[in-house]
Amino acid sequence: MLRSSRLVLWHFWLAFITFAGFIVLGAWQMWARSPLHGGPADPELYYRSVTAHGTMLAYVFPTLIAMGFGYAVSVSALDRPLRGEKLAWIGFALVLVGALMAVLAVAGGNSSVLYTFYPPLTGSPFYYLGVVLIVVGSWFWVGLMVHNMAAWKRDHPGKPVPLAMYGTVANALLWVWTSVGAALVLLFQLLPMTLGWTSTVDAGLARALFSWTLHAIVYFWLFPAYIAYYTLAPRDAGGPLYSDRMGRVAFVLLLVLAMPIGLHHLFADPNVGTGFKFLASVFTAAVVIPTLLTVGGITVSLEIAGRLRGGRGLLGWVRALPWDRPMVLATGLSLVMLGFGGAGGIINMSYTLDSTVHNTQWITGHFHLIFGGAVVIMYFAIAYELWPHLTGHPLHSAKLACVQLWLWTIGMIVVTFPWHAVGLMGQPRRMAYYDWSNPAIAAQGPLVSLSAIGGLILLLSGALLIVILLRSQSGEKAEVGALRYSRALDDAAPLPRALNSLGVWFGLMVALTVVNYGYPIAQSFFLQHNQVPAHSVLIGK
Amino acid sequence: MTNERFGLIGWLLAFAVAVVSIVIGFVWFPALQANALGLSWWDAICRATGITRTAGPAQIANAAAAVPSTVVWNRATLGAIASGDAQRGKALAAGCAACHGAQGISPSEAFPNLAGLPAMVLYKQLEDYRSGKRENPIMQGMVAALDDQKVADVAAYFASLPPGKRGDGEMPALVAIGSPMRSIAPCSACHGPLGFKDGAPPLEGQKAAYLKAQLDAFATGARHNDINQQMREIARALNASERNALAEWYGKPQR
Repeated sequence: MLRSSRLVLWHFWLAFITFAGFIVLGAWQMWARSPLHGGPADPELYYRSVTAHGTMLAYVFPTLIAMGFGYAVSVSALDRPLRGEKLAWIGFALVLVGALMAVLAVAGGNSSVLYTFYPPLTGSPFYYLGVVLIVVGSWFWVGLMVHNMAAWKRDHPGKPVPLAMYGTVANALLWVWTSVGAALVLLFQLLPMTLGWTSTVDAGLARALFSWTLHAIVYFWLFPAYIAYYTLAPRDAGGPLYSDRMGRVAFVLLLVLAMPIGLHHLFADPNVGTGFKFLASVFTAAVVIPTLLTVGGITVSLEIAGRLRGGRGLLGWVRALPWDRPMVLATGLSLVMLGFGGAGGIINMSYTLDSTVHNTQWITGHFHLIFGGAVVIMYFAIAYELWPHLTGHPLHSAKLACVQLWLWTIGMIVVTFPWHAVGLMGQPRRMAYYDWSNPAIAAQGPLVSLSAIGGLILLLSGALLIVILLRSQSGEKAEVGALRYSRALDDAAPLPRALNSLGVWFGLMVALTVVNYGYPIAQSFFLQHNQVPAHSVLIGK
Repeated sequence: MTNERFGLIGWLLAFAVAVVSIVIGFVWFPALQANALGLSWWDAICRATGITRTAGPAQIANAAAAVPSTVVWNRATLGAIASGDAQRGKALAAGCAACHGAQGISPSEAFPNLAGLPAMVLYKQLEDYRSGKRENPIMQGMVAALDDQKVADVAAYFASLPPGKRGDGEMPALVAIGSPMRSIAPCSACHGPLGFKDGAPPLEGQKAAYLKAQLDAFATGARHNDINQQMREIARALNASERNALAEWYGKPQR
């Protein structure tokens, strides 16, 4: 059994309960706006649903997974008890209370502002305070991860920090800087507005600050998946990791680049100069480097494993891989979705190409394919991997787990590929309904219906996940051994000091933030034309 | 553990990319675009940073007359509205009762109810009468005696009165979803019951004849104080029977 297994298990259960509950809303939304629904849905209910779906699945679910997995990595990769477990429980409690506050405020209909807040829309203060609590709770985790790595390094001078822990702390540092943008919006713009202390808000500044968080938050979600690619998948495939150092370089590049590039979310915002948009375009393109390093490094690792298992020829190693193991299967399926999603991302990142897809359903398709697909499927695999170590019971059925992973992939492709297509046809996103009697958009109807059916496949897969986790936990106890990570071919090679610490990279991230965001944020202090009146969405106002 | 200059190289690479991108994005591209946009080279560079020279309406002949309303929803306006005092407003509003009712519920179909309307709505209409942006001989005469503070006071007074009862019938399609094929937004998105926008009056329980007259006036352009011409656009796109039906629905007898 893993140390601190109760702590980790609580994080994972709350995460997956949130997940299973709120994907239902997503499936309903697709249904409600498709021709299958037979008439427009109530827009108020629709946007309430979108707000709840986004808030719970973007802020609560991945945060809890990152936190829980981080604690698991800390106790297993460093092979010692977690320092500050009490604080970890406080962080968990804050996330729980924040999530309840936010979801109740949304359910009451007083906060249908969507999870991206969209000032000058103003919802209930409980909603914003709830989100603040979720973020503050996660900061406890950040502090504990940094503290545990630092303590380990003090006790093991000159030794390389295990890759899984290095990645986890890189993610913690990324998150603490990333969450500052949204925290500034919440504390200095939205809460004063919703409490009635200010009558107007600088919407341009709010969007700039929110983009500070909104892009890098995706990499915060992505990191646990990347850590699993590097440190769990090669071992389960039966081979070594091709390069530990490549993993460190990829983690460092994600840390440095993820946040300063967020400005590309403002390509259509008139208050940001074109030069800054070009700068954001260039740095966003650079994310291709850690992504391709990872895809390449993991593919090579899998090839080594396949050949060790007797695979021959150009692609014979692919067939030789143990696809009946959930972690291996999930990695393969995840890389396929990452490939398609990444290709779409290259289009979004281009300042000029973006204008054809900006704010269309293409964007919704893009982030669901990357996050809901490539990342979340690795969350499932991580859970399957950890469950025996957390509960002392072996996984109920690896076969059923593989069926669940396949269903998730098929469902996600059936959902998101049509979204990309209708996005190219010009369908705007965030619409409660479309007028399907309009011949100009009638051709999109069948594609939208198809994606709604994909939503049902995803629901089935989500339900199956809960069944597998529950049945595993109630099965017979068995000796499961310790959680081990992949060994790397270059484990013994000397490591540059900068790839065993993170301070120098954190500093570079902050410096690049100043270059990319400094002026676009500073201008709001002397340009006043972005001030707009607050607009309350409270019922009855 | 080796001590290669790995970190330094990372910093230098990142800043090399930044410097090259800045030269391209802020100097080279703007210089190329300057001709096409008819800008000077320097203006093009300023534009790349987000600094633009003020240009536009000020150069239009007789720009002031082309502006639909002088009311701007900025901090100063919101502050002025917030400074309104309902008690002072009550004294000033004595003369309003003949048409708009003693409690802001009009006894006549021709005049609108004012009770419980948002102060922003009342303030804007009073200001528009004062500036002549909305034309009506009676109202322009009535507001002539008001100054900035008194306008805010009167708005605060009527906003403080309990509104008339609102209906609860099934919404017609134009109210609930508009007519997307004709670019008509749903009435309900701004005027209730689904949504409300700043400066747009909630219409449920308003006088039907008054609403009909306003829709017709927007359609002909006789009324033109809608800031983005949205009401003129929509009213023009509606046919006469639709305008009637909408006025009847919003103005249906109070329950």
